[in-house]
Amino acid sequence: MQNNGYLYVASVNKAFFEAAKTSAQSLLDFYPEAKITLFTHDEWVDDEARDIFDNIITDDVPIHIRAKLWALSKSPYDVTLYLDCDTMIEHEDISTVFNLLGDNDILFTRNRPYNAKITKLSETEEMIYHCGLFLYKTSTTKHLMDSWYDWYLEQQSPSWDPTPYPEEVRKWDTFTMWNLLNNGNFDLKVGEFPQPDARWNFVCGYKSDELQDTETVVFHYTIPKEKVRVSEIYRSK
Amino acid sequence: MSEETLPKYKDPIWQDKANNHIVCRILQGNGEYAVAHIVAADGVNPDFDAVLEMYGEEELDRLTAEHKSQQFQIEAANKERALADQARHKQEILFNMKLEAFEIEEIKNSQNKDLKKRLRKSKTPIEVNAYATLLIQDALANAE
Repeated sequence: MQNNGYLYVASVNKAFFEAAKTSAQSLLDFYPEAKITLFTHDEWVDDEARDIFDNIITDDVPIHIRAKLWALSKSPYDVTLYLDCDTMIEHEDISTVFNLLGDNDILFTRNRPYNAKITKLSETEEMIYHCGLFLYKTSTTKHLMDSWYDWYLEQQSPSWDPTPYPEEVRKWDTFTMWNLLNNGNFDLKVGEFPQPDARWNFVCGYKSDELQDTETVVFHYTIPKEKVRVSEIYRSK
Repeated sequence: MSEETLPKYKDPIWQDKANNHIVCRILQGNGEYAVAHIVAADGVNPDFDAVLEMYGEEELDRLTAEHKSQQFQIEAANKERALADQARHKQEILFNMKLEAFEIEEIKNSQNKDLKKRLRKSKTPIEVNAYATLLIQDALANAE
């Protein structure tokens, strides 16, 4: 029997931790049996979190805005649905998401260029996959996920040269994944959520007709900057 | 490139249907280009004649059509972005209403799973208000 579960990662700013609890609670409202893991900092863990998540991992979690990239390969599940903290579950179908993987190693939803800051890298190159929610086979993607973190750290180094791409790609982990899938050496089957993929990751700003008369399963918002600004920043002891 | 080799006129297009008005970029003394409107007033305008001499009417027609097509694409993209902004604004209002509703103790702690799901699935502010009210009523009735 496969061990499938949902994964959240909240690091650096406590607003992400609060959002993760809110999202996971909405998941439990539609799927009470869901197994949910949270990677976060020990000092933040409260009774409410212990109540919502059946697995909270705090050991060695990096204090890093992209701690998610570190955590992905450490998922305790065979098949994992990674969700950004700023998501909200809105449909029972969330319990069936694991059936979608098929023989793929990883499934993404597509970016919508009209609703994204940057997708097009050149006339022929485009970052087509949204990296805020994806379904993956934990064992076969381990190298990809670990490389995602390593390559992202490398991307932040002053010696890393984005040429021929614009400097603004540096901050995007979406670019790192695009780079890995296009220039890395991974023998993986990469797929896409079935149409309409938008229902599995309906990002605020998407046109309603993207749903093609289906219902949203996951709504993806952005935590307001003001909220992030006034929230506690985690500092190591 | 030295200034002598730079063309005096660049990117000309017709500005009017009668082809009496050209918009182009003209080379300035400092080596930079400035946008200029050239009107063939009573047929006497050396710049107008020079642009036509340099490009010809057919090339101006082609450049004008190309410019229109580019403008159309830009306008379509802007419209799409504006619609996305509008949709985002509406979705944010609805989402924030749901968040606020679930901060109410009676709703947060309610055991009425069906109503809570309906509230989460709400597609309009009216639905959010209705289900939030029902959940509070339900909590109050249970408390009595």
